[in-house]
Amino acid sequence: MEIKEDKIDGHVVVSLSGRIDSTAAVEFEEKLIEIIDRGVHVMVIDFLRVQFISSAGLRVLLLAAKKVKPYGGKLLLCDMSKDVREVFDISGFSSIFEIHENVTNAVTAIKKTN
Amino acid sequence: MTSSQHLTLHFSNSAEEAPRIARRVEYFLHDHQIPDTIINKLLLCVDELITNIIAHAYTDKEEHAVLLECRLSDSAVELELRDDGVQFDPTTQTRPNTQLTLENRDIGGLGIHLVMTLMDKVEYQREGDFNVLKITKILD
Repeated sequence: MEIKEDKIDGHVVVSLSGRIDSTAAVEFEEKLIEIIDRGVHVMVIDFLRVQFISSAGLRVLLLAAKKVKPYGGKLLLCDMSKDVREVFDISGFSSIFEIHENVTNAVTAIKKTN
Repeated sequence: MTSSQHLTLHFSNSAEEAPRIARRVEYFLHDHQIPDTIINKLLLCVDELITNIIAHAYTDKEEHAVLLECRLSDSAVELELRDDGVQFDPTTQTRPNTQLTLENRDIGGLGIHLVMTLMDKVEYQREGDFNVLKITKILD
């Protein structure tokens, strides 16, 4: 897994690539916690280059979402493949995360709520 | 593809083994022209099942050997995992409540739920000291 952080229109976008599995989970969690601890409570997570995500990766997302919630924050997810989306649907995570088509739409959604 | 193809992997119950297993299974399936969408579903399931074995199968701190076999035919991919850990039948576990809101949501049982839903068949048998789990994905 590779994880990259960018800023688009002043908003943090975390791009993931590869397998978000049990091996990747530690680094994934460390990265998200590091961002949140900096005071960033709203961020986009881009799944464009994600091969698949297993429950280990979903656990990290859940943890991060719970961590930002008290601050009124949220994670916006985008660019999921059909297969990745299916895993979110099966696990019921589609209803607890905001999922957008692409980064542009996700960033627009953040601007609308600000 | 007209012949049956077979992959056998032995590994120990250590988290460090997971990437190697994933790579081997991925290369094997890719070499046999299995579609990416099916490869990814299988790799996801392998990650879930291996993680479970590493985390829960053993109560000692010893190294244990686990066997993974992958069998291809024209109609399906079959993957079998064999470990000598405590008896555990994933097919009879309680499924998580996927309707809960964020605050109440937990991750327990989700891995097995994904395996049971993504695979076409999940079969468990206890053979003597071994848990034998076979997952099957049918090829269209």
